[in-house]
Amino acid sequence: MDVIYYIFLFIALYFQIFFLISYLEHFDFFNAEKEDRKKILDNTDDLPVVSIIVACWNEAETIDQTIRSIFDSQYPNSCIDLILVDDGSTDATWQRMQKYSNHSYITLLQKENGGKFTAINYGLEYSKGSLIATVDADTHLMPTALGFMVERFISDSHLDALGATIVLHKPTTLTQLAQSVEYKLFAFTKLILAKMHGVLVVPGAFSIYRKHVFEKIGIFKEAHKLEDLELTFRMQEAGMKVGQSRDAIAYTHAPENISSLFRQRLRWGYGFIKNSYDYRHLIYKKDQGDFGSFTLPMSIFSYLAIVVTFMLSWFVVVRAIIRSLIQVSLIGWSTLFQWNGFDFGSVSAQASVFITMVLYGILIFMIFSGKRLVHDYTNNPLPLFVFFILYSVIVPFWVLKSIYNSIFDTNIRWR
Amino acid sequence: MKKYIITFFITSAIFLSAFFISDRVNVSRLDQLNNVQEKISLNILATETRFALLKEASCENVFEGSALEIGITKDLNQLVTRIKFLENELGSSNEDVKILKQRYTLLQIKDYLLVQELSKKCDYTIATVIYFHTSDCFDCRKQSIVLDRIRQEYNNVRVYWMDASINEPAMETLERLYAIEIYPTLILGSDIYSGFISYEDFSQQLNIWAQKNSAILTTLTDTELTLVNNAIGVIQESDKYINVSKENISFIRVTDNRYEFLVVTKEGSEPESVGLELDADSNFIIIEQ
Repeated sequence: MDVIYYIFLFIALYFQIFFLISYLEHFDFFNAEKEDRKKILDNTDDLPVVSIIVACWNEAETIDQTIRSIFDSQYPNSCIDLILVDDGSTDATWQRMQKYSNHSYITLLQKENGGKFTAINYGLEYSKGSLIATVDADTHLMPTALGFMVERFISDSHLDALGATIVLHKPTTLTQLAQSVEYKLFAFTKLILAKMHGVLVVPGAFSIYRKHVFEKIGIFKEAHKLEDLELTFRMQEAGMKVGQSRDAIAYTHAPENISSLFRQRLRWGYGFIKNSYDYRHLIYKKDQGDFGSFTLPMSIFSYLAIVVTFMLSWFVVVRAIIRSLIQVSLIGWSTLFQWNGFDFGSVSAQASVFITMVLYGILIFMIFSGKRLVHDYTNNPLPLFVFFILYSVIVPFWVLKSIYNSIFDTNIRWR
Repeated sequence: MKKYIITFFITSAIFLSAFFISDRVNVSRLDQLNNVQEKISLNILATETRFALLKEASCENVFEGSALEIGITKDLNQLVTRIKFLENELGSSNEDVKILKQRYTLLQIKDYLLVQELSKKCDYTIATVIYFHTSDCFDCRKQSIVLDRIRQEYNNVRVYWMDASINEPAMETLERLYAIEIYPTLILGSDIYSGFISYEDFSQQLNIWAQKNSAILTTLTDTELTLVNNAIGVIQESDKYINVSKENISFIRVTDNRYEFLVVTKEGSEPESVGLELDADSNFIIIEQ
């Protein structure tokens, strides 16, 4: 068992070191000042029209903010082609949309409920722009975000798709605070993966594609309810250039409590496993580059590692509980919580302890780097604390459950 | 491709460093334990020597700084905790651990013999428990927990941990001497307890044994013990008990700030009860009965 554990530690450390080396390779990029976006946009005569598709299903509460943020963008409104698709909402979403019915840059569409991918595809049919953006109805953009994104497409004619950096909007509950840390970690890792041309997913929350992407490789698919991941896999398979924007930031609403977070992650986990299986031929395929040799193996390994670590740690916990029970039955409660003072001599000095310390050190470094990327300069340690506690307890459960669901094809719910 | 190889080397380097650091730490811990053992063995030797020199003289001089002092019990106890911990960390098949345990076993036997001799000749009895066990029997694990508690509670009960899985001839002789057949087996004085014995039962046996052999079982912390010694000094300095020797003052109990003693003033006379109270300035005041 020790051997298995050390093999896992080695692979985990390998992936983390790989991240670190890639970070050092692109050190200048990560730490550079924001590029002067305005110069490029100002010097371009005919800015591309961006068709922004927002698929809505029961989003009456947040849709207003999303629409307003899009038109508050520092990007000419005349170049925005906003398409709102009501995917058969049962709440007041459609009524809320009506106040924009006379807006010249907004198209309102309504259809029967068919799932998010059908709504986006429906919107695609009406799109006029050469760039297609998807924005989630619970997401709003920073005023500069759209401009930063379009600028990348103007300056890089090979770029086919670009994901934005997603940050949580005003995290308040403990569950949200924990997620805010996770999103900062994502911001860092995604940027590195993009530098290696190994982006795993351009997020549905806010991404832009060139229109020819859909003409070449087709529209969104059902894709086990994770259509953005599947499209990214398809783009990677076709050798398209998928990027990640450092400076374009969008805010999204995160699940407030553990049970809704759990459902979200079950969907992500299930979709990830199913799509990885569908695209398993990409793993270590010769012309797939870092996507096939790093991104996919690492993502799959992290799932396995979570399961193994979970089982080992529960083995340890259960053993400790049984020991304590025996101890209580033999000599009573008095010594169970006895604190004999800190003794350095009784701290384990096994190699795994030091390796785990390095792993956590790198993880915390990545979180702090991600924090800087999203311009969060606060010094509150609470989110980090909550993140480690909460995630170490619940992540294994949704990973195990989504593995179970994928194997036995249990139906999953959207929310 | 180059990056993948570089990463592999860096990862391996970190891995090897982790194993190296782990090894260094464990070596220094082993050294530390060896030093403690050295100290104990020196102490035993010193006591033996002094004992041989003063064979005909009074026993009084032997006790001071001798193997019978509670500090030594503590050292022995701490050593067993550390050894158990290292055994867990490095595995019981580790050569260094084996040697450490063997030396420890010998040290314990020597200490045991010395304590036996001292108590025979000097009429000073402390409780010794020889605990025969193996590392893989379930009852032994239970018994170890019980004995851990006992040695924590009674500062001057000496538990000798005899792990039968060690091939140490001296210990095997000891086993033959007591005809050990099942594990765990406990030997308290000359009483033999075969099989698991619970905490309650063993504490009771211990107390009965102590009464029979007029041994003192202190359940005091170090600071309390110092206070008891101070209190004895105060009694000896008082006018009434000025000529009473230390052996004739025995500690009974402490409740809150009140310390109770029994003092024998003249050979063969009834002991008198003496109470002392600790005031705010940590001074003892004798309370008249």
